Amino acid sequence: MINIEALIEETKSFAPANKEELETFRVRFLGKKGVLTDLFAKMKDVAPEERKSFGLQVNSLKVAAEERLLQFKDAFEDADTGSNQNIDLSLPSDPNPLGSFHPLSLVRRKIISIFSRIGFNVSDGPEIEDDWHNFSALNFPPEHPARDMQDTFFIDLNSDQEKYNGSLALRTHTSTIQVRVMENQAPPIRTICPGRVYRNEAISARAHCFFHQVEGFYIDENVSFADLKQTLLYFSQEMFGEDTKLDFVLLTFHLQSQVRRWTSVVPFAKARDAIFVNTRDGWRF
Amino acid sequence: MEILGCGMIDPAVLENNKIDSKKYSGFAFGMGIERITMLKYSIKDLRIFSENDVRFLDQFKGVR
Repeated sequence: MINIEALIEETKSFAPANKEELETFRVRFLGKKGVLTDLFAKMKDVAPEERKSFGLQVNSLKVAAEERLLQFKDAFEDADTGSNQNIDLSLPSDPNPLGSFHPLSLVRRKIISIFSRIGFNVSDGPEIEDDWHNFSALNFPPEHPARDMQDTFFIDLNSDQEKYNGSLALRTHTSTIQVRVMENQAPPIRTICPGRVYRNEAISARAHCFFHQVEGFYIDENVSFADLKQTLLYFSQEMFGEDTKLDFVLLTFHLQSQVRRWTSVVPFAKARDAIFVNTRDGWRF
Repeated sequence: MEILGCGMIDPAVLENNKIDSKKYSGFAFGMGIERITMLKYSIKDLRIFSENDVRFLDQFKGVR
């Protein structure tokens, strides 16, 4: 016969050092194939007159084992959460590493900030455009060289050609937004249009198939070339420093429909080498 | 280095967009953000902007 009294004594004096010892104890006494399961199974073999006291003994063993388990389980779980360790909760947490802005985002934000100081707001438009907004509304006739110069990503329309007036393309410049603003707003208009544009060009150190532009325009009564020069001078000095100077160089395209197009140049060391001028009419500044 | 294309807006463009070109005039300009950024930070190759190289991007930490 098993000495239940001895087992109860053992249970009461049980003092595990860690979680693993407690688990071994639980399996031994309370597990599916443990001592208690075994004892309860033996109940039927016990003589009827002893069965009651046997049952009481087994039950007190069970209660003792469960009490022990509960007592130490709590202790070990407390240790896990560290609540009884000596931790300084007033210490600051580990710093969260911050990222940085992409340089193109930095410059875009600076451009927007400079122009907003002189009254330009920001407009936006879609990157997929129809022929009207990308070319025709801007006075580029079908044979205009710009349509060749800017090798365009056209979108295959299949059966939808009528719906989109013939062609859809990834916009080749942000002037498309100018057209959309003029459609929706009466002068005075003073806005800049930052955005991504696409050209079907070979990728090199100086060209990519996509890049970012900021286009700006100002329409009001009596807007003159002097206003344009002063606006761009202000921008350049805010962006590159107070001593920045601008050179204005006249470019003309060889089609008569194109207005004279000016380009302003920031003269940096040796930067003048990069100035290009269409010399057809010989103007050079 | 050419950085800012600009010009007075062709009256025909204003008329295309139903703006009275006798009453109104305007100017327009455009710039490439890559070009400005390359000039400002002395960057020689614009391909680096789309390579997501952390060693490059890290150098702009704290820049405002």
